[in-house]
Amino acid sequence: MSTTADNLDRHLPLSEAGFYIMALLAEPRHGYAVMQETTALTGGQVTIGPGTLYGALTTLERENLIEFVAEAQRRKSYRLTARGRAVLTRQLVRLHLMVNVAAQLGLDPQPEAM
Amino acid sequence: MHHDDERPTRSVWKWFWAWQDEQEEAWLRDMAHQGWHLRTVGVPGCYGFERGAPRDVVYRLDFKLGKGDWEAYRQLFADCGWDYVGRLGGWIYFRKEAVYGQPDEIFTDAATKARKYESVMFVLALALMWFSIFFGIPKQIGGTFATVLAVVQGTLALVVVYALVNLLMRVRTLRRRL
Repeated sequence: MSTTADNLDRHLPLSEAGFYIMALLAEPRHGYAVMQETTALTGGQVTIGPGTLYGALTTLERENLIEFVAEAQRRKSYRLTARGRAVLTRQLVRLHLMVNVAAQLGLDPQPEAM
Repeated sequence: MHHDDERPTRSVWKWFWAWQDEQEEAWLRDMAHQGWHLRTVGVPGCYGFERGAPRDVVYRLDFKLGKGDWEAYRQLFADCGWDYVGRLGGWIYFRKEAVYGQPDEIFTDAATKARKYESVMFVLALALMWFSIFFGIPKQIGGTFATVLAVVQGTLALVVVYALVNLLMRVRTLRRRL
């Protein structure tokens, strides 16, 4: 499967939910764990609803960015595919660039403003 | 919410069009405020309620074509605290006790919400094709019955077109919010 730059970039930018789901699937996890971890790691600022989560997982799997790992007690676990890892890395590169440019322009994120 | 056969129940006939899902959700919540909790949604337009204490319960509707992954789907919603109430065609009814400060949406981003309405639009488009194909048949039969049938079909087709346009605009608004 081709993983040229253009080919991967068509998945970018990731939606907010898509980003958190993919970041957390760097390790195998099931959907609810992804939801819990997202809320915990963002200090409650980002929540992913079950409808969104299920829809995003379905789409990511269809686009071969994540793959099914195992099912236990009706909970399916997924993890990133190699393609998914590459896409996530490219997204992180872009995000770092954005934050750096913002800092150079003297724009600082204010936590209260979110 | 357990089903108690001794608890009073009532059926309410109310029609919500495909584009009125948010009104339907609000109405079900309002019923819960009055102590009527949804029990069955088997028949289109007919809601079975059972009596209980007035509670602030949020109802949310999802729309899914086919069963695919039904067990995992139900489990995910259950894990997130959403009670499954029932299913009517593609519409799936969930509810959750409203707690201040806690999320009460099943769709938290615009893209996946848009996809839900796109699924509804797909079914409506199929219905429209059905009406278009069978619109000509009454003419073969002829007579008053055929005319009435043609009028009914024509009206339903117009409603479906309205639904499609309404939902298309909703989807476009959602997808613009990137």
